[in-house]
Amino acid sequence: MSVTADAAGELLTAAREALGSYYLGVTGTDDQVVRLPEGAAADLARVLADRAGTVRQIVPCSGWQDADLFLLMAWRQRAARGARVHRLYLVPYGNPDMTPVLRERDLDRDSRIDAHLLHLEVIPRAPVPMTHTWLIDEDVVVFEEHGDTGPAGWVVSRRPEDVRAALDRWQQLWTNRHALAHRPPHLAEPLLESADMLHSLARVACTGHYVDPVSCAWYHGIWQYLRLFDMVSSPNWHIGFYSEVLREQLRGRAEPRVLITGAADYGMLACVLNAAGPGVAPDVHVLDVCLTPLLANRWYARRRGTEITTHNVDFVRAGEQFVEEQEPFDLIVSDAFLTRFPSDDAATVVENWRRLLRPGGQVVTTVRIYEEAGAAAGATLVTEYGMRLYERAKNSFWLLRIDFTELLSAAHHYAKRMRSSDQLGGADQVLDFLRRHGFEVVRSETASVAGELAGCDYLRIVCRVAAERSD
Amino acid sequence: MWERAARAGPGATGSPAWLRAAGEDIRAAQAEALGGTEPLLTVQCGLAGGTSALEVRVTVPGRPPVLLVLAAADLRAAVFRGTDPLALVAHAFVARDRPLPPADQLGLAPHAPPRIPAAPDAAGADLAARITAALAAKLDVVVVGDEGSGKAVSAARAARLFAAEGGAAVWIDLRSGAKSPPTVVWELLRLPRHDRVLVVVSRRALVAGFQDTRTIISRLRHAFDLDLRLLTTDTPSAVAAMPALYGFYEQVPVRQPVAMPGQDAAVMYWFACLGLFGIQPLVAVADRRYHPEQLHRLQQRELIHLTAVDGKVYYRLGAGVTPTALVAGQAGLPGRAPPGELIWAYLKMAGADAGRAPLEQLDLVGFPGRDGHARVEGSRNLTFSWELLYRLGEQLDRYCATNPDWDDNVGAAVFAAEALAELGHAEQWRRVAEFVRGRLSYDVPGELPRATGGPTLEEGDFERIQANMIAEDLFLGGRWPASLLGTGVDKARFHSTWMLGVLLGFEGSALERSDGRLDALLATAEHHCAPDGHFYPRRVPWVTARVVLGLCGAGLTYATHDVVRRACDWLVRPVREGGAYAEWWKGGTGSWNRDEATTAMCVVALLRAGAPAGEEVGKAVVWLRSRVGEWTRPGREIDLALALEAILLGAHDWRSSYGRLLNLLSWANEEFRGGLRDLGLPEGTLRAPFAAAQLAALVRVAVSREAAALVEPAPAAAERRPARLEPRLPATAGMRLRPSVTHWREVTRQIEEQLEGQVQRRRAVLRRAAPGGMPVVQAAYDQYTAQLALCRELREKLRERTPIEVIERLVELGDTVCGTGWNGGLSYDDEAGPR
Amino acid sequence: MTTWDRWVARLPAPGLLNFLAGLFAGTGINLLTSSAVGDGGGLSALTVLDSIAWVLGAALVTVAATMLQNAEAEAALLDSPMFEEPERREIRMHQRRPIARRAVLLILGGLLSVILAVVLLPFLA
Repeated sequence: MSVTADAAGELLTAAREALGSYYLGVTGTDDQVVRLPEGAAADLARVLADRAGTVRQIVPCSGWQDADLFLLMAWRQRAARGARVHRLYLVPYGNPDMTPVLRERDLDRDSRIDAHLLHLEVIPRAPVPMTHTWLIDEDVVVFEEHGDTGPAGWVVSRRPEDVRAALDRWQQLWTNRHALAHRPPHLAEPLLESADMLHSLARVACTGHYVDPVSCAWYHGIWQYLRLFDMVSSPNWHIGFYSEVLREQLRGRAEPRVLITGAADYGMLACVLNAAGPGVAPDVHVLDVCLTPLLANRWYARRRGTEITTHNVDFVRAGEQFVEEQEPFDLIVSDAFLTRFPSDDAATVVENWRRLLRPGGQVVTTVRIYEEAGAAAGATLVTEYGMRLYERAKNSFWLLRIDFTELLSAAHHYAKRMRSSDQLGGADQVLDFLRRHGFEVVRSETASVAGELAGCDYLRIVCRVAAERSD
Repeated sequence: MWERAARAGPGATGSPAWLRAAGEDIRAAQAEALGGTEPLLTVQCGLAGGTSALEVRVTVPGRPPVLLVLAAADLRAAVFRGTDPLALVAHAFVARDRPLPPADQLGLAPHAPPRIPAAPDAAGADLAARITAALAAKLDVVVVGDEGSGKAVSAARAARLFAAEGGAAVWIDLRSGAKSPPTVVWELLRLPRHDRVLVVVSRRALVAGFQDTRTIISRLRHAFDLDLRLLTTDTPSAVAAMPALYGFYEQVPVRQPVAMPGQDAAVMYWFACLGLFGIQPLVAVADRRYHPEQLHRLQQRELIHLTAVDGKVYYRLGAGVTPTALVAGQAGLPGRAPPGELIWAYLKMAGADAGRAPLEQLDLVGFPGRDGHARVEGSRNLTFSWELLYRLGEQLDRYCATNPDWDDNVGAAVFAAEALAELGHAEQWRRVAEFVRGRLSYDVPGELPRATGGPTLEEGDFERIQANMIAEDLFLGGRWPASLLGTGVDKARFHSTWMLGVLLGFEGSALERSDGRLDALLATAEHHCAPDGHFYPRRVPWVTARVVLGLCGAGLTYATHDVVRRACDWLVRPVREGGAYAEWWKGGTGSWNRDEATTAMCVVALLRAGAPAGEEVGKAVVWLRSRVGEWTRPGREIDLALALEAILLGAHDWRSSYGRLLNLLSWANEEFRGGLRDLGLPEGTLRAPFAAAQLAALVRVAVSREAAALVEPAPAAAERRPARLEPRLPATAGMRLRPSVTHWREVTRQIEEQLEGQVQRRRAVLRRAAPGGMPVVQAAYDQYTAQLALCRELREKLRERTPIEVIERLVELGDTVCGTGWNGGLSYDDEAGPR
Repeated sequence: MTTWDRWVARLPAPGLLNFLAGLFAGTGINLLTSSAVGDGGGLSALTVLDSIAWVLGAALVTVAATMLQNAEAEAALLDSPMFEEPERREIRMHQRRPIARRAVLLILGGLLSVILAVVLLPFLA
């Protein structure tokens, strides 16, 4: 089709009109607000930096790209020319890679920027959106704006409500900056990095599991996302207990043999390696019926510069054979494992534990206890679970690659399907059960946790192979 | 019969003279059967050159004749046995070039239809009327019903109606087995000329027999271009089990009437509707709705039973009562509200706790009576939606108790009132309604609403709207005439026109009607609707959409009201033709009602009005969904609420909106709990009450859609449209043929001509061979004949929108016959793009 | 395909048969004429008989050739470029089959006659 020069000109004019229409849609006509597309951040920094007197910046620290670094540099240059720039680096839970953040903070200090690093708790006391925010001279606030999908936009607002909200948030964080700076997570787990990875991996590697004989992808694939928002039972709920006990068990030995049975991800491994400390090189074995968590453990171990041995074994049906093939272990660690099974299978698990341990070897574990029979999860609890995740995730879901709606949907699916066996009963019954199977209890304590769907109690146990069985 | 052949004498058998005489006997038999009237199919006889056989030509004017060859031996046997000559011809037509059945099996006799009762009951008459309507639209119709449901009688009644309207009806009973196909031909040979013929095939017990009969009918249609319709009957399980056979049939289900007194049927319908959701109604609620005597009667008949749970007493359905069947059987009858409406009304009446229990069951377990994914697909989150909505209603109540005038914001008050009406909170509604009706005057027909006692608070919003329009004009340049620029807009008129739409919705949904006011508003709408259908200002489509929504709220639709029709037509007319549509709808007011919110409003208005705008709406919904990153941003809750309604009503996967519905409910609850504040956002003061009104409507719509989906046939049985047609448009489905259906028909005709050539050449060869003498040529002939029949069938099915199955079969056939590349320049597409 | 059909399919082409018939006829007539005008003492009865055998053989083969040629012509009338090769073969076979038996008999008769003529040759001298 040939067009004349006039027709081509008309088409270009029409294209410019479309561009104008598009930009109008982006920026809007509110005289209090200017909206810009994602790619305009650099231009924004360039023009505003020249005009700002005092700037208070909140900088989310996760997955920095060159564009983010440019913004930091632009304001740094402004600060070097005399502007007063205060900066708070927000380190979200699940992002322990501090190297780039520390580097930027040091560069800031060299440029006379008053910069601080804040570690956000897994559930921050006050919600803090993980978005860039620049409060300029208390007149205008510039911030990122996210929808459920798509790139974020930038908003420059002089609306009093927006400025006030930004100022309040800033004050709150600034006031607590020292406290939050010294509150890194107990365990530096790179959940923000591995959650997306495991989500993809689960679709390929997950086969059957105790929770689902067909495929546990709905469980393993969503697990770390839910951990990021503290929505699932994990070793973190018992971190003080594990740290203390494991440190006691592992230090003072050269190469303790440690077996982790049942692991949804590398959480337990992180506890073990952390507790081992420098100079101790535990020989860690991880066992699970599904490949996904084993691969996750291997990945994490390599990141920590160590190697582990993984065993893709059904501990109930093939546990006996596994026992025969292994050298005895010094320590078996397992978090919330026994309630995955009905009581007869749990007995098999405990027997296998006992046979795998050397004389005097110990088991460190937690068990959810039921003083009365467990009830099926009502629909309200399931949906409240979803709403809770929504509230917690809505301020930072863009740090993840998973689609927000998919995350909520997968969480709902998890909440409906995940089951915990109540057949072991209450605390006394669990302890009795262990004793019947040849253990003597070294330490036990109950603890109440927020739980997944509802608050619940756990028994934290350290037990040792008994000299004689008590049955 | 055969007098002339007999007169020729036994010695002359096989001679040309004898053959001629036999031919004349055949013609005479037809003339006698027709009694002097013109035949539908004309039979002519002549000698088959060079052979001892009679060539029979069956013709209709304007079509090439069908040539049959009757061997002398067959003729001799027929003469000897006194077989009806037309029966012989019919058998020859069916057998084509294969040997005829043995002579003693050539006899045919007419089949009698069942006796039709003199006075049809209402259900029977209704079924016959529906069959007749189906036959008017489609070639092949099947009446679907269980054994003994009266299908055959209704089919016979429909055949009689068909004949009364100038057609001819032929009844075929498949119990005659292999004789059914020739009986069809025989009957047609004896039929006078008619424009339309109906063949009714009953007792389709034998698939093979039916298939052969169907094949003959198809051959007759194609050979003679006859308007030959087929009506058959079958059971639902058989129809579901044979989609290949019934794929293109129009299915007319037998609706089993509920054999009970009229009022009892209505009561059972209510119970059955609730039963769709597994709801066992509280006795207290049922007793308020129906007379205890009626309920007692139903209990005695064991249609309902009492049951007590946790100290409360409920009614549950009797063991033999299937909610889906009962609802489907009565749906559409006078006085039967849609199931969703009744379920919603019950939930509101029952209250939070009583409403929660059955919904909780649904959430976890899914819908009763459904299998697999369909069981749980739609039930998710219903409990929490209901609960949040109930809490929202309580918050709204509390707010309206202390602030019924919403700080003099009539717009906010109206939306709050709509939410209260939706939830049935009469007392609070009355308080707010009193304020609205007192603050505005709108009872004079033709006059736009105006405030009494000074401007209302939301009028100030229109200053800001104007400012946004001016900013938009500066940005985009001179796009509008002076009167429509931001600087030129009449703010007062703009506000009043918008308020007209808002008040129409308010009065339409009012718990206590004010007919005078509603009539005045309707007259005003008529008066202020421009000739081309828009409402002032033309630049702002959301005003027109708001008025349409208001009119729909008052029960008016595209089909029933001229203003609705004109306004909808304007909304879908392209901008370059003076309308508002440009692939989606632009707000015209900058950041105040962005394009997304405006498009959602227009979509909802068109859908609620029932306007024929399937393509425009479909495209706009797809665009809206692509903008999800925009309307889910903080501060855009009005956009979110509108977009969710558009998706819930207009998208094929409307359940995808449920997750965000919950989030919006949660937000709305928080807003009311935290105290409503004007954050300086566009429409800031309206956000919460508007969202409340939308949410109440959205949850109700969700309940209605789920209920309606339950009453539809389960997907595996009734799926006739292929899954690839996504997104499903509200209007007719199918692929659009490009460049045009005429091109496709032309190319198909070329394939047909090629096949005709193949068939004719082989027929000529086979005519000279003894039966079975050339199996290879015979096989090729059969194959090409089948392809030809298929080609003709597919050509007849080509329409502006054609099912993908038809297109694919045609392409495959074309590739086989003509090789690849025959369809150069042809394509087809749906909204997903060209193929 | 039956054995008979295979034989029918392999029947010699009419052209070949005509050629052979020509040879046989020529031989027979030559024998007669050369005996009549030669120095061998004139026509003997054996010579005449031999000649008749040659000519008879030629005639029979010619008739067979004619029959086969007619069949081919009929088949050609029915054939069409639209047909596949198996169909064409079937059409040809179909036309041949009715006359195959007679053609075979004629060809055999002709051959026999020629064999007789050849057998008689030494006795002519």
